[in-house]
Amino acid sequence: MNETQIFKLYACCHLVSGSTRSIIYDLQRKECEFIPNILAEIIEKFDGIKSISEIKQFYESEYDDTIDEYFSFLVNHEFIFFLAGSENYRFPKIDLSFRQPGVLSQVTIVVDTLFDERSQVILAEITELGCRDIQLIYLTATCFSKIASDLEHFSQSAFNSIEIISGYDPTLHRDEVIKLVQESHRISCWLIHSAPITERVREQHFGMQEIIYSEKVYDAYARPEFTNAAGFKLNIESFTESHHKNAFYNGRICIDKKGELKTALFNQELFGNITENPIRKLLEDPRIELLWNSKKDNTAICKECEFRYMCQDNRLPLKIDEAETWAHQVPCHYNPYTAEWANEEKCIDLVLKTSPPRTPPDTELPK
Amino acid sequence: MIVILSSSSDFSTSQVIDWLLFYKAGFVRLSDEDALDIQISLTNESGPSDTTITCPGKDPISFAAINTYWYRRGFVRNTYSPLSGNNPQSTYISRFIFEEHQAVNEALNALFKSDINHLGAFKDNFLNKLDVLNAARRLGLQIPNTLVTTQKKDIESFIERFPKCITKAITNGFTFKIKETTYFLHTIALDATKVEGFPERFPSILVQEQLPKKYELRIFFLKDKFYSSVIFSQNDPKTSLDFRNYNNEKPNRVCPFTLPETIEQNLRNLMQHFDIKTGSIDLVVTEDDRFVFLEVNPIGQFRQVSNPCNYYLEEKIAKTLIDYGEKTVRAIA
Ligand code: SF4
Repeated sequence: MNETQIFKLYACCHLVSGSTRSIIYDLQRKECEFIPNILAEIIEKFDGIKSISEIKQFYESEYDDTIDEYFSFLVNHEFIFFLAGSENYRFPKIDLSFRQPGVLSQVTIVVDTLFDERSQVILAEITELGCRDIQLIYLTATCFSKIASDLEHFSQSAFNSIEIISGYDPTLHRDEVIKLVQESHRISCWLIHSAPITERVREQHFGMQEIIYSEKVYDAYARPEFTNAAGFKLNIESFTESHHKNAFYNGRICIDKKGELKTALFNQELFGNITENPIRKLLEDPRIELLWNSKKDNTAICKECEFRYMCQDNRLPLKIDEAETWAHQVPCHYNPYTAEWANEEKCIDLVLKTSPPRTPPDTELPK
Repeated sequence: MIVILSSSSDFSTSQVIDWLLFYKAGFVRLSDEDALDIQISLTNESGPSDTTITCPGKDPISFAAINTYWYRRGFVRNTYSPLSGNNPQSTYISRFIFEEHQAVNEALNALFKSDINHLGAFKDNFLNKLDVLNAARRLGLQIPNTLVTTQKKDIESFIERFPKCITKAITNGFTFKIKETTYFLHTIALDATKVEGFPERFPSILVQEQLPKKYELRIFFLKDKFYSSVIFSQNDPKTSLDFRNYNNEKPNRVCPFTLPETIEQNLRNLMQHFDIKTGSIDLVVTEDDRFVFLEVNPIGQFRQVSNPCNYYLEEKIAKTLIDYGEKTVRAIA
């Protein structure tokens, strides 16, 4: 280990401290590691300023072994590198601003007669508002040909990904479903629930696409609860978004079967009907913007949680004062003050699984 | 209206387009897969030339309606290939048709260039690596010691001076696919043992000293600003020679970087010298802290700089195109 040169945290690795422990978010490799708060403090205080031997001196050589242990951990995970003091200015931090080319990012549509009649208008409106990811929910068992014909609306569209949730129908033969998914690269995931079998179909040529047959009955109106960190997102988009926005709700709307606009299918509140007003107009409702801006840094308890910039909490926060402070009525399964999940004894060894990036990696071949 | 010429699979172009849509800018995307009909009419009347591009299924685009042109990559394809069969003339005539078509591509870009604000140009594809290295050297940038030769003895004496060398294409190399395998040219290490097996004479090859790297820089240049990233490729033996040998499990660390001002100024002069408004520049910072210029790629990818550094280059490109459109002042007839 390099004891004499100044150490520096790679700019893609971010420290996030919670009440009892901290996490190093490795946004590039989409991994993270828990570290004790004291190590986070040491990094924050001396990053780009001191060498390991200087840090040992600072603590009057009282904790040399611990410091060695800490720093070998950081080196082994490639969280830090070493440099000469004169080089420090070359390595700025990442600017954490968040920008998106549109108002909407994800729209859920309950496919019913209304969508059948107005699909062109709806899709044109949400495309114009910047939406590129769409979720189609069929509340009942739906036959293959109906879904296939609905997908034709998307063949010339600007959508990047389509997620489908439908009830099982005997016409949803495995082979035909696979063929359809193969043909439409936009389908990111197709969940066929209430099926006679449970199977995750992953074909090699699928890339990131997947088909899931599930015996479970899917209740579209029930709020999915998270009981561990499995659904958290660890990437630069979500990290920067969480610094400014509510990472779950921002840019997300749902159009229920009768055309009512909601913030999510499982929420009760209605924001007008898309048959009466254009979606753009409905989005002017100040309650929507307020919710989208309810970031974790302003939310009681969450603001002291080390997961706050990867968490995809879907609970509706309540505004408790004029200063945009938010709180929740339903407790989270995670307690940042004890670092424990309600359903687990200890979570120290928790392995975070994060979703893969949506966009294809840029592999540059020489021209 | 903004005209974009790009390859149809270029994801970065789509991302720039999302921003153009967001800012409600009118644009048309042409790709090298479109069968385009080009009509250029030059007459004695003053004012811009009368040029029309027609893409089947889309409205014809008249030159007069275009105020910005973005050449991203690819070229307008020649869709008309009347010759088939193996007769000896057909090769020559096909070549002639190809060259005529190439000239139309060049003309199109020249016409765009003379009257419209544009980002990127078709001619940028033909930037000569050696010409660029020479200009860089003369403008005060350090370059790797370089030799181009057809003789073994030259390489042997070069390797004596610089025992660790690399060789790479002078041009853009090649990419082709046979069955499921894609072949493309990479940078290859060269040392005395390898050279031993060489014949006495061979076609021109480029040899460069292999620089002991501290880290690599990939810089995106737009108008006169530099957006730099540093790639810590030396940690990983798999990528230490050429960071395009991606290690997908443990990708190299990529972080934002601030260039020293003198290097920025030298690079700016170099871009001006070749009249390049946008592109990717590769540099190496050596173990003894020298900034060594490697090459510039006018049509290089920028996502791998933009995304990890959170630079939003896609938005910056879109804004540049919009800004150019507003500033286009046409020659008045
Ligand atoms: S919802 Fe739970 S896990 Fe998420 S930030 Fe709040 S306390 Fe942490």
